[in-house]
Amino acid sequence: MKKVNCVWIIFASMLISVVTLVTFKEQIFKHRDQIIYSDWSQCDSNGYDFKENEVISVAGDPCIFFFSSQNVEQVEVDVQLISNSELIWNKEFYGEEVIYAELFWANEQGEMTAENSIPFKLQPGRHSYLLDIDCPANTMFRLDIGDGVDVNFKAHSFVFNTYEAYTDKEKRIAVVLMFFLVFISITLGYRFCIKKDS
Amino acid sequence: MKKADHLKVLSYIYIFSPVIIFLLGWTKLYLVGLPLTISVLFCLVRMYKRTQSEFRINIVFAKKDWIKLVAIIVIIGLWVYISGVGGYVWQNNDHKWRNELFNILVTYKWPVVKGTVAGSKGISYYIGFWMVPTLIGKIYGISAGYFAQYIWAVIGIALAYAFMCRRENKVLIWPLVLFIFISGLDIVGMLLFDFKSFTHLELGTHIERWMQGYQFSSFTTQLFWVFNQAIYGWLITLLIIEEKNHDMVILMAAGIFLAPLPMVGLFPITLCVIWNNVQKLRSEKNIGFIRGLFTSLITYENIIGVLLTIVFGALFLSNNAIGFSFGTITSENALKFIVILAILVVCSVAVLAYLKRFKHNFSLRIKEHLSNNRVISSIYNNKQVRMVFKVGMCVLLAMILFYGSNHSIPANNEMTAGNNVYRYLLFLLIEIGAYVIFTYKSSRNNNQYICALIMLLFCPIVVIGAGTDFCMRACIPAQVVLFLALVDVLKGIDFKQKRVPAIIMSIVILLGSVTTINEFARTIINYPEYKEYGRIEARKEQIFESLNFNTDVESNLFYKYMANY
Repeated sequence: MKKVNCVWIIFASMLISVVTLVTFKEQIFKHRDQIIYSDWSQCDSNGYDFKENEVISVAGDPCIFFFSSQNVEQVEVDVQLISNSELIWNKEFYGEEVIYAELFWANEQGEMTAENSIPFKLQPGRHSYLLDIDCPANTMFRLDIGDGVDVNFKAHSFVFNTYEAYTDKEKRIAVVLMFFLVFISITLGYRFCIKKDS
Repeated sequence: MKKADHLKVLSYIYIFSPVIIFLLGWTKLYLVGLPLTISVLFCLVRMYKRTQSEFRINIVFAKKDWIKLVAIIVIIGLWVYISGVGGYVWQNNDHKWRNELFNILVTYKWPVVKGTVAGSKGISYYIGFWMVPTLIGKIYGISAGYFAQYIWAVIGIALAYAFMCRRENKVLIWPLVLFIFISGLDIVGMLLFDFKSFTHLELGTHIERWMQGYQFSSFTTQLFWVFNQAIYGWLITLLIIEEKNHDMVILMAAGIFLAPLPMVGLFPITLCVIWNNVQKLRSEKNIGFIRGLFTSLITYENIIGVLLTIVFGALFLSNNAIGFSFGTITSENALKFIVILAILVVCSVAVLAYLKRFKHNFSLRIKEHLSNNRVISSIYNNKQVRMVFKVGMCVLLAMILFYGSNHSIPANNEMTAGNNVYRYLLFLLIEIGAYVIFTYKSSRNNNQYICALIMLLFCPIVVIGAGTDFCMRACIPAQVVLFLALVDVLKGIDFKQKRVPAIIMSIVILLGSVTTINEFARTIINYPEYKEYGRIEARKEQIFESLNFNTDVESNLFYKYMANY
């Protein structure tokens, strides 16, 4: 291969690598994982009574707390509503057969305010609710399902979709690896697909 | 410079765009995504260039053919519309899974992994068809995504049908109509084996399931139930039949991602195409078989194809449905299978040893049966050797089929528990018997056709997952080859001179069309239900709790090492 081609290929590889890094910097250097809570009775709660995975509220404004030791990018709540008086009441007064729920997370001061929350509605039957949240590691979350007593549901899972940023060493290895593999791909591609045919 | 083969180029784009989207969206960019995407793009450039120099038959396009072309697009558009793809009419039950899977692909981050009570589950399914519509859905919203599904399906079928027209050298409409309405004689099967249901038969009934444990689906049923596999299955089969060896592997690799079960069925047919291409190369360049095979197969494209196969294989290998199939093997079944395998090995060695004795009498002669070199067959000039070879192969085949029809490979599941050789033979006779009788005489020298028939014999005895999915889907390429043979017969038939065969053929096709008419009728009858309830969708949890769609992230090689996870 001529020298000039080699220089051009190095330049093209660098360009492609840099453009990729700039465009996908949010996605490339992340390990994604999950923290799954399947037994909610193990978590701190106020106003809920647990019988295996069936949950019933026994006091007003019930809530349950979850903790994530890693950065959180999404939360997914999988619950199955069982018919209850609040569901019927909501249908009569608000016109929709739902239970109102809200997920709070603590801010830097450890406070859970309406600004740090996502309200959502639980529909009858079993559903998963995926909520986009971006929180740092070691954040406390509070889930409020329903307002009054007798709110009844089966709690299947509460999942934190977490991520961990690559360490500097991992980033360096990834960047070097990307450059080399791109370089090899372009070199071989050029050698066997462009130059050979021409 | 010659013009590029636009049909092939468009097909390559249609096949490889989902692959590229998957590589960039699901895999670690620095390790797999970017290098492989660059390599695939180089392959596409080379494949494009090669289409300029390849010999090909062009469709003779007259002015009046524009009307036919419009008619074809309208027919395909209507067919896809009524099938339920895109969700604009009532949809069959399977669509609830596909709709929800599409919703998940649009709403979740890629690669899709969901935490469940049973741990983290990653999608391990043939999601290729949805890659382009999903991307559109992510950018423009879910409704745009559903519309993109419809358009993507129409484009795929139009490309596949263009290949069929090219075989005939002109724009035709009747093969499309035949393709839509043709089916096995399910109504006859129902009459013989499920008389009670037959007497209570209502318009819109799904009658393909008349023989529990076995099923070949008509093309319309495939589109109405499993469009995501069927369309790519048809297109890649028709492309491979025309293809040279230099990009066989990369096309099959893409096929593994897009429609894995049809690709299993296509594999033996691909071997025939490779064999034919090598024989042609030998006659042109006067080289040995091994050399011809290696020089034509070891190309840049095929090496990249092997790398793609590793990536997609890793994604599918620990799919829970495959794990389920192998989990059902009992020690008794395993022992029986080992014994039959041992007998087969001994028989094969005996046949080969016998053939070796006659090696000095062996001379290979290539005979070209068609002027366009599409069909090449090799024959041995020693009748005795040929006879022994044929009988030996038939005995081997019969033994495998006899074993498989009684026990299934690797093992029976609940749905195939009643399978036996009697039911198996009757099923084949009713589903494909008539079409084989029509086509065998004219196509028996075409090794792709023979291979397709063998695949149709094999598919019902293999069981993967909890149903008869392998039988229904792996046979798709063989069905396409059988259909092409039927079109060739119908094209050449003289309806005035051969009135009786023509009438019999027409009756068979009409009886077969009862199945497809029912498929159409069901959509129309249930349309009020669609108006009331809208598009059907499963729950997300069902997708991740079902065997077919997911894998355990911890044990899957793809999610462990290659996915951007």
